[in-house]
Amino acid sequence: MASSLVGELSAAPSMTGSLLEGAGPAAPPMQLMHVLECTVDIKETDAKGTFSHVPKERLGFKLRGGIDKQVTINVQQVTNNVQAELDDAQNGYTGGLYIERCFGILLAPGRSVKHSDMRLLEMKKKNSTQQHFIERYFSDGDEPLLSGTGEVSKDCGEDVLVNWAQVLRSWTGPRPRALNHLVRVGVPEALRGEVWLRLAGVDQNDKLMETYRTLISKDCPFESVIQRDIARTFPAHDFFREAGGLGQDSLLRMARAYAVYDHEVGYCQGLSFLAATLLLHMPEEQAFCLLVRLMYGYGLRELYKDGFEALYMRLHQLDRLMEEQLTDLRAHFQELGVEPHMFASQWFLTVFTARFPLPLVYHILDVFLLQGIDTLFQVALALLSRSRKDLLTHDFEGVLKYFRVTLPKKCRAEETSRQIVKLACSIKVKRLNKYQQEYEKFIKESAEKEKINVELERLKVINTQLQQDKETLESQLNEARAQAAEAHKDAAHHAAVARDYRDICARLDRQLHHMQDYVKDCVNCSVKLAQKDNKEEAEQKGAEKIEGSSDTEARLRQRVRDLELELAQVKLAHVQAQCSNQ
Amino acid sequence: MTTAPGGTNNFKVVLLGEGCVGKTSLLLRYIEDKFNDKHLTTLQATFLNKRLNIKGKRINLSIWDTAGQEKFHALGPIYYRNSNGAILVYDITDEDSFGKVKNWVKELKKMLGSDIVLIIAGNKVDLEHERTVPLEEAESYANMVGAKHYYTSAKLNQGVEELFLDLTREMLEKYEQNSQTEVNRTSQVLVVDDETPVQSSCCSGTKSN
Repeated sequence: MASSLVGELSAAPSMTGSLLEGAGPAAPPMQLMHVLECTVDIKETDAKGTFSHVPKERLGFKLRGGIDKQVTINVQQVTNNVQAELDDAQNGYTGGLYIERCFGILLAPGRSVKHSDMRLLEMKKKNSTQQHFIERYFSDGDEPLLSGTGEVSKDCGEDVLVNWAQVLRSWTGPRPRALNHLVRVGVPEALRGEVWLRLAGVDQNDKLMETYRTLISKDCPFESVIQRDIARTFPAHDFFREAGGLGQDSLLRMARAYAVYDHEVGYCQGLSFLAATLLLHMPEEQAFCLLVRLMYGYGLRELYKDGFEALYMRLHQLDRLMEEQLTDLRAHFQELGVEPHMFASQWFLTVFTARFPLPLVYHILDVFLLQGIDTLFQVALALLSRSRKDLLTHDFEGVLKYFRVTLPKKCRAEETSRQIVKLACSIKVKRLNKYQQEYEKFIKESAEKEKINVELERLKVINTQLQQDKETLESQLNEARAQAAEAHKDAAHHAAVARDYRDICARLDRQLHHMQDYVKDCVNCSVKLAQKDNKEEAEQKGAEKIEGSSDTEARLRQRVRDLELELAQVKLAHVQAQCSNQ
Repeated sequence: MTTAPGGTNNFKVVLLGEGCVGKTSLLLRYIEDKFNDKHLTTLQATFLNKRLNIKGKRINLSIWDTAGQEKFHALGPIYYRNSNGAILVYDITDEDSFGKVKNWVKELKKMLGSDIVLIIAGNKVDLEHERTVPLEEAESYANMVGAKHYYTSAKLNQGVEELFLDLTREMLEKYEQNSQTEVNRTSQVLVVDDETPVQSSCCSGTKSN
């Protein structure tokens, strides 16, 4: 990527500002002419990590993306005031311009850059001649800022120090009234260590310091987890840069001691950033006491506990506050599916120490120590409302990238961090309790819902089981019913057959009687019959004495049998005919 | 998995693994072809996109890079829910981190079944001489659970591109298979639809019983 570099020397106006001051009304108007020569030089890192000049093109420098750049701007006064004699008359004015302050340069990658896209980069180093400063510019727009980036100026106005001295003197019991305002404006870097400890109520002779000395000698179950994070905490800061250096060692000891001290939380990623911030301002023991106070006294510990339940409650509060104060942004996030945990969990867990440049980190901590957990919401809302316009134009990926990369970079200038904190302090955070209850209710309800769901699942399983049982039973029932119907049909059939047989028997009986009557009318036959009957009786009584019988009798008998047989056949034919009719 | 109107297939991928095994580094190498010795701790899951073309198909990978520490394990489901692929990273010089991979495999199998493509990545092969996780063990484990195994070095840029490409190919295959069975499933659903009234009368019958 070749990009042109737009640089503006914002120091220029302040260099001419006080030129006419010494001239009295009687003196002739001074004709001052200063010629300043500015040169820009840009170097890029090479593979060995040293900076070398970038190639120049006709219209500018040829730059590559993703590489650290060193921008040197040399401002040299080439001619002094032409009217040198007159200058001598003015009290001590030597003709050279005195550069009081350089703020830095405005930079942005790309061609035809809008002014609003430019970032103010403050000076990294300034050499002694005051006319030459070096700006180190991490030009890559995609790389997130390393934690611990940023210089915090130790300069502080005389009046500010006087005010602070007064307040600190009068601060023996409760916090003096004037303190609030002073802290919100920002604690002077030189006083931070002391003021932080006092704000948190850590005594110089706190017993915890004694405890700390014993804690560091104990074995820590989180040793390896902590080790992994040490080199990843504030790698951009000189104090923590070196493996095995003073900073990393103190940080390791402190994190270990805390993990031993607080069994329940132990060590949690994120803690190291808070610890490192404190270590940059005070000795280890004191930093440890302050960390304990922050965790226990300021409620940060809750955020780390129980699977981050309290953190999620806080995020819900933030969500509701956004709904209230940044309605359109929140609607935009909802539409995209951006949830507060995707950008604010790190902010809250580390009190903004993990991603932001140090001037802002310190300033936020000033206010946090002054007023507590509400500050988290105020700062979050301030950051969101400052970024609102940008965020509204981004999609899901863009929004998350903005939070990760762009936003921390936009906060690099000290002036920006002052504005952010000022805005944050002006934001009202209300109804937190209501939102908390709301969330707890929601959690309770969803837990119940979950329980009900589990119960429902269980019942569903049982239901399916029962359904299956029911189905089997039903099919069995149907089968039985079919069988019963079949049986009924059979029974009816059998009954009909039986009835038919009964009819047949009755008819046969009738015919038999008829025949008997007919036979009775025939004397011959009746005699023979009687004889036969007698004979039969005799046969039954005495064993078959009478064998012989007349031919006629035999014929008649034969005839009767034939008739009977014929009758039976007719009957059968009749029945068959009936059946076929049915 | 969603298909955008432009015909782009959108796959969701999640990176999981113990802290400091190189999840962020792998991702940074793949997406921006960079390696940073100054590590960044991932406290809050980060989201990155990668667009690529495979077999003439436009594909967008939405990748969630997660925090590794055990404490953050509980937040896992937020990020692996609805994922099409998971890259489980361990450090070949750290046996515990391999154990952690096994835990993740178990959890993912339980929660997502076989809907998710699993890749196991043994990272930091530039530190081969310090290896403590035996080669065969890792590979046979991956084989057993139906995951592909890769050796990677974000530092030396080894195996990173291949890993993501293969993962994407597999996700695409699975997606195409699924949409095939999906078609079958919809026709089955239609049949069920027809039967619905019967079923409801059946239910009311149960009540009256």
